[in-house]
Amino acid sequence: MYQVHNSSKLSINSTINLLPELLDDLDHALLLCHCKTLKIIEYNKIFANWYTSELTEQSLDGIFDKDVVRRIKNAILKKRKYRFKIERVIGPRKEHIDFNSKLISINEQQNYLLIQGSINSTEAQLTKMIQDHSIIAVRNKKLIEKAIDKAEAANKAKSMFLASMSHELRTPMNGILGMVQQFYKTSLTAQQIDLIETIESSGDQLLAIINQVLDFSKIENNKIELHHSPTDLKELLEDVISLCSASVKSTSSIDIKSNFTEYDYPKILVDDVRLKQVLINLLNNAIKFTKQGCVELKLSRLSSFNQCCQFEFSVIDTGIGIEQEKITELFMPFTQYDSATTRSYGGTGLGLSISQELIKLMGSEIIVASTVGQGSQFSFTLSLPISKQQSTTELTQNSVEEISSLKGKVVLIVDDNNINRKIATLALDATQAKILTAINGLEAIEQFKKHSIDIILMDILMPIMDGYEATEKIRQLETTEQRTLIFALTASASNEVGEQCLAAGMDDIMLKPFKFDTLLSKINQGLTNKLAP
Amino acid sequence: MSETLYDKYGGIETFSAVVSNFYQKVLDSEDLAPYFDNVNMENLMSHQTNFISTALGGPDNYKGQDLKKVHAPYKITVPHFQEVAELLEESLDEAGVEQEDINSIITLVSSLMDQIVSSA
Repeated sequence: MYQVHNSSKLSINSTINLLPELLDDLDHALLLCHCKTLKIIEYNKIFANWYTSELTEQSLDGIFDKDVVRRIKNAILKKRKYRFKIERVIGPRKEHIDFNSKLISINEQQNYLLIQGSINSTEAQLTKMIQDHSIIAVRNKKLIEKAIDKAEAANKAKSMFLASMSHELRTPMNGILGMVQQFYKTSLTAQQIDLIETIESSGDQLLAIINQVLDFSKIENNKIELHHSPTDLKELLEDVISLCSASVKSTSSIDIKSNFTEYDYPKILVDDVRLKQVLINLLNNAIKFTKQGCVELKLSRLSSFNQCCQFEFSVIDTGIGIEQEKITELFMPFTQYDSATTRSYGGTGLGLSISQELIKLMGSEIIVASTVGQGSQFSFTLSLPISKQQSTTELTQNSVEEISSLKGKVVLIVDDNNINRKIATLALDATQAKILTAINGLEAIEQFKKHSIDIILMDILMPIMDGYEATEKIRQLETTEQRTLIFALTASASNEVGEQCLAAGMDDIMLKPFKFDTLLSKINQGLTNKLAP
Repeated sequence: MSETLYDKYGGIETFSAVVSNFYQKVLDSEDLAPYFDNVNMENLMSHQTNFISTALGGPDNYKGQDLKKVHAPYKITVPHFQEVAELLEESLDEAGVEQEDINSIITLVSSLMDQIVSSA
């Protein structure tokens, strides 16, 4: 509280010393003056903030205009309250201040005038403030929406870029890997075999990376769909082990083994391709980070209930281990254990992030337990429905049978790319099948009219007429007894392409690049199904 | 035809502000406030605005009842009437109405004293 001087005969606050502090804490301004002379006695901090000049000993005339002072005097005379409004710039803003003056009588001799002021916060004032605010909010919202649209468009462009890049990259990879496989069939020296193996494994790695990037962009766009099919888990895990073991050098001192807690498991419904992908990723990671000891892939059934089994899948290694605080980072895209990992172990840093997303899609989560220097355990549990189809009609065909069953068949290869036609031709050259080629859909139809064709390997994107249209036209030309097996051979890995192929009347899809053996067994399976409807 | 006081000071906008300011003053007065204890102030202010507007040459929108009849139950005294008149004067002054015009308005209002005051 600002006080004039001690000699002023003020008894209001002389008894309570706390009062000045209390008045300073109020959120409105206070000013006290003599009611006869209108000389200012004291005022609180807020009043001082509003009127920066020194107010002590001044008269009210010095701060309010003469009309206001005249009316204050009149109100004093009539012993009335008097209200008035003043506009004043306080800090950065022009404020409307509501004042009111009233008489305070202590006794006959001691009469004071108390003036209180507060920043106007009437409804109108508040409404204006809120209106201003809402204008800003609307403007901000528009800016945000614009930014979101832009970001979404950019993300979409990125996904499209990734998808088309993956297509563009797969086509030459098809050439490389196809030729490598063909190369094995020639007479090679030991040195050449070693060189060609290196080309093949590098090519496989590159293809895996392309697939990972594509998977990642699909996950980001919620484009991944699970396709459940009856699956033998034991078989699937053994497959994973043999695939991953193949990449381990024979000189390596690690032991890769499976651990089944039961002799036999019921067939269950699961997306076998995706489950395999996750397990391969986890197992390969474990192998990558384990120099000695063992890597174990374990399957245990936790419970069976109501045609549903709960399984736990674990990959346990005796590798370098992971520090506790780094575990969550493992699953972030493009991150690895540390940046040195990329240098010494390679990889895109997408594998675990993709695996985690896939397992989440299946309704679970990958959990990590690890001790540095001792090893890690990656595990997840899945509740999977038991397949109604338990009896297995095992078709244990070996490659010799596959080759012989194609003998004498007429195969039409349709592709606009010369190298692709060559690869497909080479893939079939041991089968003694008769090979025809066409460079677009229209030519394929011409060939179909001229020859009796058993199998067509159809590219999708071709000039003049694409694979969809050609397939539809060929299906129209067929008679009821005659149904040609048509396989799509495409580098486009999206679900839509797959669905469109089937809708056009194709029997199955092969993704380029493909392994010759897989192509042969697919064709064979198609022929078998055709014979036994 | 000379300009009416109503038009001179900005019509309905000015006088509704004057009336609202005026009633604020009336309610601030410890002596006058009790008269309005059970009164719908919004209605009253709307009536008063129309009354003053009409009196000052504005449009005749006053649909109120007979002045004497409405005020009779309140037993209004002369000093209270005078205080109200002063407050009206102050309100007009604050709205920037010239003293000369204030005087003629107050004269008009004073002429209504007989209809409003009903107690000694």
